[in-house]
Order: sequence, then C-alpha cells, then structure tokens
Amino acid sequence: MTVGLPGFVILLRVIAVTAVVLVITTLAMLVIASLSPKSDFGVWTLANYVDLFSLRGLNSMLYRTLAVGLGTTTFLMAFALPFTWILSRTNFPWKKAFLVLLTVSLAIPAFVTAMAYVWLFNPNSGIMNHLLQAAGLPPFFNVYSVGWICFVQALMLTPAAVFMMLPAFRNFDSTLEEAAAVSGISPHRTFLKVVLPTLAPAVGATSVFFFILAVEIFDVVGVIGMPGNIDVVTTLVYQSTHTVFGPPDYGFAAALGMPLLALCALGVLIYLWLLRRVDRYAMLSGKNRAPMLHDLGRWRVPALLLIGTWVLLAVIIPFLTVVWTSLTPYLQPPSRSALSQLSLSSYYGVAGLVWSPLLNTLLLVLGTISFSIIWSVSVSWLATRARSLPDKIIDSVVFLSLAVPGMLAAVAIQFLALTAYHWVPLLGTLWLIIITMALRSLAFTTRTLNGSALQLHSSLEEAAYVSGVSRMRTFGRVFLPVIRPAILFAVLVTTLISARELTIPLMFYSPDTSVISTTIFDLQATGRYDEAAVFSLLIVALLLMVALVSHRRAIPSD
Amino acid sequence: MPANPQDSALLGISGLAVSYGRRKGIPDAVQHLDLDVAEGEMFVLLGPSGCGKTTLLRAVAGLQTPHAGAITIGGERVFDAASGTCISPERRPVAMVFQSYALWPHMSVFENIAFPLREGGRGVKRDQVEPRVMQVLDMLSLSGMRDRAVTTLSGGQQQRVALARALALRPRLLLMDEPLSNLDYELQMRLRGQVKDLVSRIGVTTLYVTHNQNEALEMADRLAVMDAGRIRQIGTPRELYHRPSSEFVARFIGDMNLTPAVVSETGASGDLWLDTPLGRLRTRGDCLPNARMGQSCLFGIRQEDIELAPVPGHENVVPAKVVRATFSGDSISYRLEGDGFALLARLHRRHDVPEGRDVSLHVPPEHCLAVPLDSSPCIAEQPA
Repeated sequence: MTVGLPGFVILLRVIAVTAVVLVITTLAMLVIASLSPKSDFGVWTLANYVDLFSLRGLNSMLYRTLAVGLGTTTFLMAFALPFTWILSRTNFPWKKAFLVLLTVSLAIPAFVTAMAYVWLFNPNSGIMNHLLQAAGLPPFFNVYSVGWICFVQALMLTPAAVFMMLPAFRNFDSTLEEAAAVSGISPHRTFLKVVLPTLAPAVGATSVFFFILAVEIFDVVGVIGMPGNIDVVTTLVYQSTHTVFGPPDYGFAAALGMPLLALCALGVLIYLWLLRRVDRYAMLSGKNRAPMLHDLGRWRVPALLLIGTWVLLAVIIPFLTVVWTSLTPYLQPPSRSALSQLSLSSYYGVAGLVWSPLLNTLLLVLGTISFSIIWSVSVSWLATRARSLPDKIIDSVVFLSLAVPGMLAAVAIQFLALTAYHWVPLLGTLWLIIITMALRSLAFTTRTLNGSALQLHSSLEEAAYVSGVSRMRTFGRVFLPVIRPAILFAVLVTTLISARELTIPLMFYSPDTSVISTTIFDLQATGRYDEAAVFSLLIVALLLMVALVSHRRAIPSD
Repeated sequence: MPANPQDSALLGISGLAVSYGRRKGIPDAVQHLDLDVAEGEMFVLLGPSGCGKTTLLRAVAGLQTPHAGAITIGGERVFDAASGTCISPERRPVAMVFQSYALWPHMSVFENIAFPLREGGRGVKRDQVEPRVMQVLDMLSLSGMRDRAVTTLSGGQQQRVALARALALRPRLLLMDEPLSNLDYELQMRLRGQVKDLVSRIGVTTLYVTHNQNEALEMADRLAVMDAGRIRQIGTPRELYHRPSSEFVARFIGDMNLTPAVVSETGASGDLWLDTPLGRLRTRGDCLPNARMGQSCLFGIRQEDIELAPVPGHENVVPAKVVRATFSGDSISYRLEGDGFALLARLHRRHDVPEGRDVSLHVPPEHCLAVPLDSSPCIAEQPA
C-alpha cells in the first residue's frame, strides 16, 4: 500500500535523524580517537591502549572510580529513601516547606558546594582547621578523600533522587497494605514483605541511574579530587586533555574513557531492565485512592533530625561559607580581626570580568534548550504517534545515548571538530558546547515528553484528522498545546542543568567560550577564592529564580 | 450480502481485510468483508469486544490502513488496495464521534467545534463558521455553554459536544464509535432516543458501533452482527431478532434457550418437527431453509416466549419443575428442569410460582426456531 508520507512527517524524521546521526558519530569518533595518535585523524595505532595498560595504578584508579559510584549511591539513598518515604507516605506536617527547600537547593551547583567544603575542611588553609589551630589543636579535617567526595556528591544529588522516586511512592497502591493488614499480617512484616518488594524496582532503577551519574560527573572530583591527587577516570581524562606542556592527548583520553563507557553502558542496561519491571508493577494495581498515610508518631523527631542535618550540610553551610568567603580577602574563620577586614572589594573586582561569562551562559542555556526541545518534540511525536519501526529505533538510540558520559561525548566531539576544522570551523565556539549539551539532555527530555504524549489518547489527534485538519496543523494546534506542561517542565529542568553544567563547557574550554561555571573553576584553581565566591553567588541567584519558577509551575506538590 | 456495490449505496465496502500484525500470525481483525450502507441509513455494527467492528470503523475513517479490498464513500474511492489509493482521513467526507469523545482539553466548547471548521480542509467559509457552530450548539441545547472549558462538563454534556463537533462538519457519513458506552445507564437510555431522532432528522448516513444489543436494536435501521472479523448476518432489527441465521446470532441477540435437536419431519406449511430433549416440538422453519429429515440443528426458544400451560398433553407442552425463581420486579426469572433438559424463562410477575412446584410449559410454535449449527464450534460471549 502506498500511502504518501505527509511532508511534515518527513520533516520531523529529518530532524530526529540528525540527532541520531550525531549520537552515533559521537560514539564512533570516541572509538576512532582511542585508536589515533594524539589528535591525528586517519592514522591508526594501538599505542593509547598500550599506554593505558602500562599506566601505573590503573587498577586502583578503576576501583576508586567504582568506589566513588557505590559510595555516592549508598550515602545518597541513606538520605533520599527516608525523605521520599516521609514526603509520600507519612503525615509529616511540613511536607510543602520541605519540598520547597529541596527545589531551592537545586540552585546550588555541586561544584560550588564542593568548593565550600574545600574552603572549610582542606588540611592546610581550611577554615575549620584554622579554628582548631586557634584552639591549640592539630588540624583534624582533610577534605581530600574518597569518602568526602562521595558524601558531597550524595548531598547534592539527593533532591533529584527524591523527585525521581516520588511518583512511584505516591502511586503506590495502599490497598496492597490494607489487604495484608486485614489478612492479619503485622505492619512491620507488611513493610518488609509487601511494600519494599513492590517499590524495589523503582528504588533500584533510581540507584542505578545515580550510580551512572556519580561516576561521570566532574563537579566534585574536579574540585576535591584533583588538588588532592585522588585519581578517577574523569580526572585523568580531564588532565590528559588539559595538559600544561604539549597538545591535548585526545587519543589517550578516549582510551581512558573506554572502561567508564563500558560501566555506564552496563548501568543503562540494568536501568532499562528495572524500568520494565516498574511498568509491569504499575499495571498491576487498579484504581488508586488517596494513599493511606502512616502516623510518624515517635519517629517525628528522628525524621526532623535527618532532614535538619541534610539542610544544614547541603544548603546552609555551603551557602554561608560562600557568602563569608566572598567578603574576606583570604580564608579565615570568623573572628574580630576577620570582621574588621570584611569588604566588598572582590565584588568590585569581579564586576569587570562578569559580562562575557554571563552572556555566554545565557546563550548556552538558550541554545541548549532550543536544540533539545526541537529534537525531543520530533522524536517523541514519531515514537508515540507515527510508531513505525524506524521511529522506534530513533527513540531507542536517543535513550541509549544516556550511556555516553558527558565528558567522553565532549572528547569525541572536540576530536571531530579538530578533524573537520577545515570544512566546518566550529572549534572553540559555543556551538560545540551547545550541541553536546543538547544531545546529553535528550534522554531526559524525550522521556518526559513521551510520558506525557502516551498518557494522552491518540484519538485527540484522530478527531482532528477525521474533521479535515491537516497533520501539520494538528501537530501545532492539538499535540503541542496538549503536552505543553511537559514541554515547560523539560525546558525548566534543562535550563537548570545547562546553566550550572561544568563538565562539558570545561572540556571545550577556550577564552571565547568561558561561562560562569568554568570561570568559577578557574578562579578556584588559581586560588582566587573570594572572586570564585562572588561568581558562585551570582549563579546561585540566577538558578534560584529558575528553581522557584519550576517549583510553582512544574513540580507537583501533591 | 450484496456482491456488487449498489449505485444507491453511500458507503460501499468490498473485500476489505485489515490486520494488526500480518507476519506475526495474528488473524486479521477484519476478514474479507463486504458491506453497503444506503444514503440516509442508520447502520449499526454489533458484536462482542474484539470482533473487529471498531477496526472496520477506523478503516472507513482512514485511521487504519487495510491491506486488501476497497472502500467507497459517496461514489468516491477513498481506499483501493488494487490501485494503491488511500485517501488520508482529513480528506474523506466523514466525521467521527469517539468513545472517549476526544475533546481537545485546551479549547472551549465553542473552539472545539470551530477549530475543524476554521483550520480543516473541508472548505467552510470564514463567515460561515460562527453561524454553523451556533446552529449545532442550539440543536444540542448547548448554547449556554459555548465558552465553558470542556474539562468542566459532565459526561453527558461532553458527549453532546463531541456529537456537535461532528455534525457541524456536515459530513456525508457520520461515524460513531460506542458513543454512549461511557455514560451511566439512565443517561444512555435517554440519549439513545435523542441521538437517533437527531440523526434521522438531519438525514446524515451513520455507521454506528456498539457491543450493546439493546442499543443496536433500538437505534438501527439495519444492523450487522460481527464475529471474529466477519459479518455473521445483516438485516433489520426485526429480521435479526426473529430469524437468526446462525447459532452465534441466536445466542448474541436476545436471551435464547438453545438445545441440540434433529429434524424429524418437514411440514407442508413450512413448519418443522424437531426431536429435542423436551420431546417432539413443532417449530417455524424459516431460519432453516432446505431442512432435510435427520439434519442436526438447534432448537431455540426465547426466555420471554415461554408460557405456563393450563392443560398438559397439548401440542408443544412439556412438563417441568421450577428449580429456582428469581424475583426482579417487573418479571420473574425461572430455572426450569425436566427430564434431560433445563430452560430459563422470564414470565410476567403475575405468574408467581414457588420453587419446587411442577408446571406445564407451553412453547408456542410461532416463537420456536430451528437454528442452523455453526460450522465451527463457537462460544458466544454475552455482552456485559
């Protein structure tokens, strides 16, 4: 049967296929780079892998990477699981306020918190160690350890993990619990035998997702790990592409990235397998009533203590440290002499530096959102409406791109840009950063839009077709307006993520493309802590506005 | 089944086959089907869920692409597998009312109806849009709600908006997919009459899908009973009720008692004598043309046609015992058992017989049917 494809379906396919081609090219370039000497395309060598295997401490570095992932996930779940439970299934009185706090905390980028912890707890000049010395005690705190890296990462990832698990916990069918109760099973056993197994796939999927994130993000290992000489895969990749002497070695960086890529790919497969179980469990339950809320009773105090600890460590301490550091010329604990030195001089110092990074950050955010939304709307329409085999393959490839860590995607695309420089001179421009970040965001944005599009019955659009309205008009006047809340949510989250992204802009760093996050990283690395603090306050202020808007518009309170 | 599409037919379907997964060995949802619907006719497709009736409707709308056959609407070939013609849904002269109503949640009542008129390709002039919308709103007594958000309407109101949206397009063919099934029973009963009146007053040809036999009988000018992708019988409601041509149709329409039987005698008047577990009974013969002596068939009597006989020993009178009596207000349902048979009967409440009583049953010959056996054994699914 020859049914002519409407031109607009072809248009969407072309848009979606460019994303797929870029994803596959990224992966291919990563492999090619790992087989090329330094930055030369077209010459083949196994030297990078030979170098990799003769790397001193390779095994301990890989174990350390794994330890960072597992440690972060463990600490993270220790906070996120009780928080999600409290927010969804108990009569905790201040749920709304806590949800606002979780959202607000998204405004503090992870590298800012990591910096604050370095300022507080580094063994030489850390504020806390100064305090101990003033009291006649030896310096006790040393932030440069795998444990601190895990802990700081966990603190920063907690809100995202809570938001990811919250829907599953809220949709939990409490009649399952009630059925156990009327069958004479104790609440304790019901929790262990009914509630936990039912929620296990959702919790497992979240854990795996954040494990992948924990081994690939550079924010914390870059700030705490590198100065402390704690090597993990991402710090070594960074160092081999940001060499002090000689050209960056993209070949070795790509080879280094292979174990990380394998780990993330495995993680994504497990994640997919768990997600399917989540869906199967969701189908089992029938009509949900409002879930039965447990009385916290005596547990109210421990719950408050846990929440208080997290708020103190993840929000209050980092924020106050940044404010304090921005006002003092060098790191020191509050004292009478420190108070006398307080000044706004670093604010004035920053004023001259701020415009170019600020403008670049805005362009970066706008560009990333535009590419991300155009791509994901096309992919989602094809995957949920056209639904032919090629469309499903496009959707799967986009989702599987989750397995390529941002840093490695950056290495591959930088290598590509270097190779193609004479034909497409994009090297050193914001475009590379924008495209890489948009590609990285696609797995999330397409998932968000697919979820929304699948919930809406396709008869909404069929009703327009049989009323004589064309595909294009129906797309613009029915499909897009109806999934608008999901698009808005995707835009807000992408804004938040891209404005505070450090890893990818840092990998493409050139003087013309400095953004606020890379500027902070540079100032911190060169010891200009006070100016780094001022810039941090700027990005926090900007993100706070986005976070508050997204809390009002998109994150459902109940 | 007419083999050649008649000239007067507004909708002509011939040799149509639709499938959801040809290579996976799933049987076709619609199997080589022929159907003609005359201009102005209210035609109902009736069948159990999964019989292919909605698939057929969607194929007519153009939402599903068949792999064989042809569809003609108003003389225009909208689908022809042989020549590869497949006109897209937006260019077919149809309108459709969906089971879910499919009202656009981001538009008001007025906008829902006006949107296809303004943006669609059906050639409605700009200055005609508003009068047309007001006309259908008025027709369905929705004038007071023109600016309401559709999400704030009740189920019955949403249903009326969906119908208004379809009628405003003035389609040659109106397609309705179980339009009443999401409403509560009371409202369904009331709307059946209203929808039927409205549609026949406008005179639009309608193809209407339902799984509810009462709804089908009440609304149809003609109806087709579908099963497993095929049409089992086409006719007026009276024809299908009185002269089911197969066991499937006999079971599907009305509450029928069916027992195995053998033709023992063919009468000159067209009546038959059947040997049944109830004994030898005289029946009408018009459902079993060309009956032969010794032919196996089914004996059928509807629950409401069974009578209590004053005297035993008469023609078509059978002794039985009341095993269970269920009082349901206007009538009483009985389970009756005799020597080697069991029957269900529904009698007016004035015949109130206690459980355990022996009775004589009269099965009037003019209501007794001889039904052909289905070639394949079929388990009829009673609609919910």
